[in-house]
Amino acid sequence: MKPADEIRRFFKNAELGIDPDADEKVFKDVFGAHKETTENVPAMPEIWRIIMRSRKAQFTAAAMVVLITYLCLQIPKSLVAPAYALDDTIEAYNSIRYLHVKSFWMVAVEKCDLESWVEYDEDGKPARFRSQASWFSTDKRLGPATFVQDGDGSHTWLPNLNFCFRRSGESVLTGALLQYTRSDVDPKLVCEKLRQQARDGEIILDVNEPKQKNEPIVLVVTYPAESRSANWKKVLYIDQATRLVKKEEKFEKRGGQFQLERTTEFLDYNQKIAPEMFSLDKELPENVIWIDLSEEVGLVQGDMTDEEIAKEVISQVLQAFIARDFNKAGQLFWGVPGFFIEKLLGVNVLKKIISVGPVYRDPDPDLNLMMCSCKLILEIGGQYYETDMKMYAVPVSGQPGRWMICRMFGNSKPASGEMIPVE
Amino acid sequence: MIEDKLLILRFKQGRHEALRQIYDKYKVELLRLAVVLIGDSNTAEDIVHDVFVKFARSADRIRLTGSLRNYLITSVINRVRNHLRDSNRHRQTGLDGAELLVSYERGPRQWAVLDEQLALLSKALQELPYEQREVICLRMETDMTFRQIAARQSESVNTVKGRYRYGMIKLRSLLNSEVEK
Repeated sequence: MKPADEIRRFFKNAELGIDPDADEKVFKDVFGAHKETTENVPAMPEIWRIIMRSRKAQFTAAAMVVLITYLCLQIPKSLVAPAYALDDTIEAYNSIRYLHVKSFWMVAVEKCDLESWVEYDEDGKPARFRSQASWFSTDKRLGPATFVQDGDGSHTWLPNLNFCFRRSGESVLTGALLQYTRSDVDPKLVCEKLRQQARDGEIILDVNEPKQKNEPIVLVVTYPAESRSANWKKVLYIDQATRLVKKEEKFEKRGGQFQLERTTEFLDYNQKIAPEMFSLDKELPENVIWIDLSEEVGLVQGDMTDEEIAKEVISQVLQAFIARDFNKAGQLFWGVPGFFIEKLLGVNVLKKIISVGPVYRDPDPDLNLMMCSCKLILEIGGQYYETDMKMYAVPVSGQPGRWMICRMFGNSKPASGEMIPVE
Repeated sequence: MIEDKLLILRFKQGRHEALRQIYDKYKVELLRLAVVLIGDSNTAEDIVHDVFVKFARSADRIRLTGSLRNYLITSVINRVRNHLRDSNRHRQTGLDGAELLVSYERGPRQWAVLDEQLALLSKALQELPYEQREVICLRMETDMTFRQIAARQSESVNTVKGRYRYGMIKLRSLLNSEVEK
């Protein structure tokens, strides 16, 4: 049975009864309102009808209507210059079929860039996409990565390792990336989200529309003091003529000042993208190592809160690292195979978990990540290091009710004192 | 439809039995819709009560261009949206699950009596963002098409379909976990 049928059955079987006494009481109020209205019909309509029986009055009224209409048409256009509204941009995006964007951001001191090409179907849904990241992880041995979703399946190509992950249908990795690319980069979605947030009072929207037509409209988005994203700011630059977004900048307040966190440039709109871009067939070497990704990723949330499941999945992956159970760790980390996790860890050996938590929601307004600070002891080349690790958990894209680890990074310093044996 | 047009005609003429028939015909549907949209029976009762009172007061000036049912459903949705907007504006910090649970405890009026399944369903629906919840409730409770819902929400059909899809996935997972409990 389809999920929609199950839910429909749930709706149909759910019943609402009516308490007869309360029902009579409510109807009494309704009846009273009706009685009051029908017994006190206002005199005005009658008077109006009597007045309008006069031909002279009818002529005067008609003349007034003509005069008012004429006056309205004569109001100079400069007095009613159309102010920019988000709806203009959302409307402008209805005809977009191809998008080419480039984003830059920093991870620690490393600059990362991600270039994406998206093709939408006639309903505005992404049909195919390709993203190229300058590097897959801060561990440069892994090198750059290319993600391709061609409509039938997805591929993640790591040329430095000669690995190509594949999965039929939408993979967790490309699904998440697509979701991220769309929610953060697809200007229509960004604007729709901003419009809704503005309506709900979740953001403060400041529109600066310059008089010079060659200058962009600047939309500044800030967040109320009580918001988790109070320290964030977004600036959108919108072309005055096309109403399309040219650039988006995201800032985070650090040390009392907003620092540029990420820049996204919208390079081309509706420039047809060659079909070969959405296929890796001609790029992969013959000796490429194909790796099929596992079906089920992460842990089931069940009745745990977002904080609890995030902590649980993070704890389990750390325990798996200690036990050197890389298959389990891989299943919790994007569903990648165990040997790949072993490669990712390299010479790092997790010896002890000192603490896991607290867990809180990442303040980035565009991400639904749970962030957890962990204190760990790592052994690297025979030396012990105290490591403050930031680990991020996220709902698994395309697998509702499941959570996985999506990224982790940390800072280490040589451990002081004597080592405590691993539990 | 024709039956409703006759009812409206008699209602506008001040015939109280027409009002009674309209009230009896639509009260359960409107209450169900309000309950699933807002999750709190007391507030849902207030909303539907107000909709009927306002409707009764409009007898002398009401001019329906569409169906009576759509008019009443729209009135409920507008009031739910207004209520949520106002409550968001006045919400105090510290609102948590405990407060939500308290709102499920019934006051003295008890016009609407929810069975366990409806209480469970309305509770699960409250976990969804309002826009998704509204799409699902309108589809399930009123059998509206995506096109009609899109027109009502001033959104594209695709946006509405997306909200429906994501909402259904989450609702299913929420209901499954509740049933397992």
